[in-house]
Amino acid sequence: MTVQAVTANRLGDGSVVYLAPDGSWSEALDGAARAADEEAAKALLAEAVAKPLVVVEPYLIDVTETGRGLELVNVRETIRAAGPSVRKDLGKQAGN
Amino acid sequence: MYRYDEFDHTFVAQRVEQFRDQVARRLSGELTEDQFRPLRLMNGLYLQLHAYMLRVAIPYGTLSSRQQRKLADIARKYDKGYAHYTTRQNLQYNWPALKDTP
Repeated sequence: MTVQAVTANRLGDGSVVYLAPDGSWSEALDGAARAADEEAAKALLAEAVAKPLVVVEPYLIDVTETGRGLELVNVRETIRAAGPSVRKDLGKQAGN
Repeated sequence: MYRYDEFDHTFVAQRVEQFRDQVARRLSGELTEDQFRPLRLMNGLYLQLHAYMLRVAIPYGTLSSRQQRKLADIARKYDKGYAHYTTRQNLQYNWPALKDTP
């Protein structure tokens, strides 16, 4: 069963954000709303697309639920969530 | 020797004003992202994995020390205190906020 979430870049600063269950945007993946089936995923994405003043180009990503919370499935999303792989001292991974 | 003259200065000032207006219209919703994207790309503003990236073209890769210091000031004030010189002799800011880019 593929669980999906919605991610986008924030309009103001381009930060990676995830759609949260209350319709706000969370910087942390843990806060993301999950869609367990195709219909729920479509609805989540539609909600995101309706906010062009907040985020840019939202899209669905695959995630898996593990004991530690949500985890990302592909490398690109892992990098987006953490920050620049060539500068570990910058971005979310470094807390700035 | 390349000289930056009054014509260049006027041209740049007008272009900046035009871009400032385009950014304002994107932030207000008057322009959609599909409409805004080609406009911001023409002004060197890219959206990358982690943030926007603003590319500053440096003619002939030549800067006076005064210009160099100003670009450094901009990095301190509007970015994370650094910028990236590219192999094409341009300068890139990796973390600008959209509203600051004009």
